[in-house]
Amino acid sequence: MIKVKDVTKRFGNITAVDKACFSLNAGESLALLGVNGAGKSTLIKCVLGILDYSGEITLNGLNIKENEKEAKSLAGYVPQEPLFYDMRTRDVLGFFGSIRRVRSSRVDEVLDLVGLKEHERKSTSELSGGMRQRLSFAIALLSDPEVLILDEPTSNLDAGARGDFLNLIKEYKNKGKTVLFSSHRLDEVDLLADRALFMESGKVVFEGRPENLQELLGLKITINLVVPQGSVERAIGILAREGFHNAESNGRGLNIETDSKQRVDVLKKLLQEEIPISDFKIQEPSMENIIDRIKENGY
Amino acid sequence: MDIKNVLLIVRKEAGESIKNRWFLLYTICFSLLALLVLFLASSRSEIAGYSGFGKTAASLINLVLLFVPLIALVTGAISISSERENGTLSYLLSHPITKSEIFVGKFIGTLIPIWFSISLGFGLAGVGVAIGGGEGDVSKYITTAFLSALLAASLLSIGLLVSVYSKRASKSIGIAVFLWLLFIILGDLGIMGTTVAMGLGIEQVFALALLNPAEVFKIASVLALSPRFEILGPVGIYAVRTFGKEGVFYLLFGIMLLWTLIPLGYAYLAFTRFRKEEI
Amino acid sequence: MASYISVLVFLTAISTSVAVSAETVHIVSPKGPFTSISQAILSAKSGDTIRVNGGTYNEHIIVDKTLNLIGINEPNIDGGGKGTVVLIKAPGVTFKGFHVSGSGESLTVEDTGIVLDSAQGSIIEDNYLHDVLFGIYLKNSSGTLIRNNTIVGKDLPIPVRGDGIRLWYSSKTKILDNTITGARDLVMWWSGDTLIKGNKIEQGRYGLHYMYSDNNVFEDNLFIGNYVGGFLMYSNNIKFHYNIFALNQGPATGYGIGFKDLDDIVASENLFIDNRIGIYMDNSPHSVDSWNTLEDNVIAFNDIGISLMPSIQRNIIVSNSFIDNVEQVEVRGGGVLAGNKWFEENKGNYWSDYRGYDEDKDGIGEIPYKAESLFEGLIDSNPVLRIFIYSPVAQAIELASDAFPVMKPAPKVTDNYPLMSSRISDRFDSPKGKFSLNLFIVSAFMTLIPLFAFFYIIRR
Repeated sequence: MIKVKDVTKRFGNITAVDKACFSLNAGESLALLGVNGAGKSTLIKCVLGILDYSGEITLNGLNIKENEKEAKSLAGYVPQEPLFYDMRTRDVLGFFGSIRRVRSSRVDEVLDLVGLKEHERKSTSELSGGMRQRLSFAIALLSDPEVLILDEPTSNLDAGARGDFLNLIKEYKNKGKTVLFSSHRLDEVDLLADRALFMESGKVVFEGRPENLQELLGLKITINLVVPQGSVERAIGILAREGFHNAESNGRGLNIETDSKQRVDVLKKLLQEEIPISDFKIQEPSMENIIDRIKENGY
Repeated sequence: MDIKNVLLIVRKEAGESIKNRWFLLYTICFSLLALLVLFLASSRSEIAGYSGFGKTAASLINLVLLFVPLIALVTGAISISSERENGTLSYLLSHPITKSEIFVGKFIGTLIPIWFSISLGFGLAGVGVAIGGGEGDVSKYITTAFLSALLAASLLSIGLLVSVYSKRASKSIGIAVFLWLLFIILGDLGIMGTTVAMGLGIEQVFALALLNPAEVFKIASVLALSPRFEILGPVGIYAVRTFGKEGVFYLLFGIMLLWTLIPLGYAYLAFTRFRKEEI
Repeated sequence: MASYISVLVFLTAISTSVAVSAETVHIVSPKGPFTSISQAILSAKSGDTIRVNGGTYNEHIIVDKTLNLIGINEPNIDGGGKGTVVLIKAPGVTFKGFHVSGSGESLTVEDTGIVLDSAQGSIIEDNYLHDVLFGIYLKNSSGTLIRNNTIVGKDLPIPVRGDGIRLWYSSKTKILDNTITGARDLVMWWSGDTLIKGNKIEQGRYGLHYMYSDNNVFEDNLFIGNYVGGFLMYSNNIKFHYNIFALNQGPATGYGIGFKDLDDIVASENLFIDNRIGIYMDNSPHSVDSWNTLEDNVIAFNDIGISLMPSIQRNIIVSNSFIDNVEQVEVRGGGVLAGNKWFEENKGNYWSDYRGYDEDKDGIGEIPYKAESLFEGLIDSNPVLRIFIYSPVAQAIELASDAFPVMKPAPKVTDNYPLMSSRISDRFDSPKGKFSLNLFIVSAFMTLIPLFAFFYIIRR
């Protein structure tokens, strides 16, 4: 469905995307991962035909430079920070619906779909962040496109709104549509992506399936435990005995570095030994960690 | 280019302009001032059946010169830069619409409300004159309104060119206001200063004046409104002798047209070709 | 007068069918007895009357006797486009009621409709001259009356036209109630003591043009749409009253009236309107003991109200109304005027751009009127800068000079007693402008279309 070949994008001296290559089959879902500034958004804008580039991008066989409108018609886009003209919600949908030549009843359908029906007469500037994101999603769904392209779709949402929104995307994916999205959160990748693509400094550095991503890269999580000072030494001892050697005191308790899968085991063991855990926190590996690992492993 | 898409942008832009409170304020001010000017002027416009070109037309020209270029330049200057700054342009471009369609739509969509405001101002003033029994030469009046419309188109094009090259709306507004000052006062002041200091000749002053679309508008309007091109002194006489009265008018008209088409064409090419990376 | 009486006698004779008189009446008509005027003149003797009936007479006429030529039913004498049509060479001739047309077009031999050469005391009256190079040409014909003639010049470019009326050494002439259209000048050389009254002169070069002609009086004339309304040179003691000089807008000139080396002018209650320059004065008065007086005139809607050379002195310019001239007073080449009186006995002029006030309600402003515009100063000394008239830069410069008085030029004119209201003679009363339906309809559309559009879009 999407083919990206040797795509390079420069802004002056800065190379934002450097010879990126990937392809995406119909019905597949691909996550673009990377730190801020890695070139994910730029690459997405190239794919959407917003930015000019060198190299070749085709959507369903259509070159976006040669068949601009046909190619653009195939994709719906949810930007990182949705910004609309200062119109009523309904009018915004009407405007983009006209550009996409959809029948006017479609506006009501998508309003229902994203749950904005009751806000249709509000001006876009009166909508909350979550509602704006849903409006943006609704616009993307107007023409029921084959491809959905989302740029960090949840980065500006609170936890509740984020969950709702991810479900909307999931539903869409389950209809067999193609999804391309960028993110810096591994849990979203787990939830939505069939494949993941890592970018760093404009280059695609790694490609893999999310379920074996952590194993493949040997990614560790860190568990922070809050335990009374007197129990710290004992807890480290217990853990060492069970094979968790990367545990150390951190003043308020202890940090344990371990494989993601074994996080439950750690807690289980300590509770069995009646270590009084008053709180705990799990640090997922940061995108920087992941990239570092990728580099170390020479992928 | 799909005319449907162009019309969509035209509608959007026109709607935004007209709902914009600054634009409304401008329109109301312009209309009221036009009415006031004509009302004051018609109070003593005739002696023994003769009426002068005088204050009425001069004030009208001045009013147009002060108001129309400012609104046209600023409207043009922010029309692309503000959308670029807040990201709506990039979002719009993700939809099946081309930059050409957006550009043309924006030009027409911002021009129409300005034309409407000019028409409203001239219309109100004309109604006032008609009722007051002042000078009733419709064709002169329409010619001036038409020239004002052309002036608006020309400065809107220049504004658009500024806009295409600006990333931030604040910067483009600054440039637009500076250009306004340049066209309305500084440019003429520069020519006057140079003339006094270096004694420029008639041809040189005429040529320099032609470089300024606002000045060209003024000369054309005076020629259109007044049978007396001599009012413009030796330069006016030179121009009319050299080109003929109609010739001068067509020359000026042509220059205004060029001042519209060249910036517009260049802005169009810059937006769609030269500066693709600047979204 | 003698010829008047003779005509009266003649008419009486006709009516009573008694044909006894020393003054024989000769009848010319296409059917005879005379079929040509020249034949009739040949047969007539001095003092006779020739009555010419309607019809066209293709001939050139030389009147060399004191005759009364009376046209009945507009007989047309046509020169066929050659030479001078009517030449009057005897004094005391009456030439009345004819159409004269078809002179030649040579300026060098001065082809004319009617020439009076040494025809003192003649009367040229009620004639219609058209397609003639010169209209009526007086040479050494003092004491002539030219009344109620209409002269339409040949449709030629102005430089190759002839004069409508030309006076050459013909003093004490009366030029009354004539209309001259599309000729070159009404011009007078060495022809003093003349009364010019009630004429209308339009679409010519110089409505009035003369040199070396003293003691003339001009009243109730209309000079409209000429290059120059009037231009007078090297003469003394000229009086103007109640004339209208309007729309005289020739390139480079365009004076309502211009004076050069003129002494003892009195101009009052004239209207100078919508000319390029209302009044232009060059070296007038010329003599050191002479004063010119301009009072109660209305000078309105001109590009320049009054234009004076900087050296001009001894003019009394009082009680005039300067109304909405683009530039009220010009000093040619820039500078300051001195030695003229812009007010006298606590009375000045009305200036429409005066911004003072009248506290004691005596009709006179409490602060002096000063013509001290910086922009005007600039365009006076650099006329090319006139191109910037009506541009905002002109106002900007005035604002700047108001804010920083150090930039203000010395006032060209200072009027210590400016009048608070204009004085326009009742004779120049104008009908109120008519309601213009066309303008109203067009303007109404121009108003309503955008209004509807605005409301339509806002309501959507």
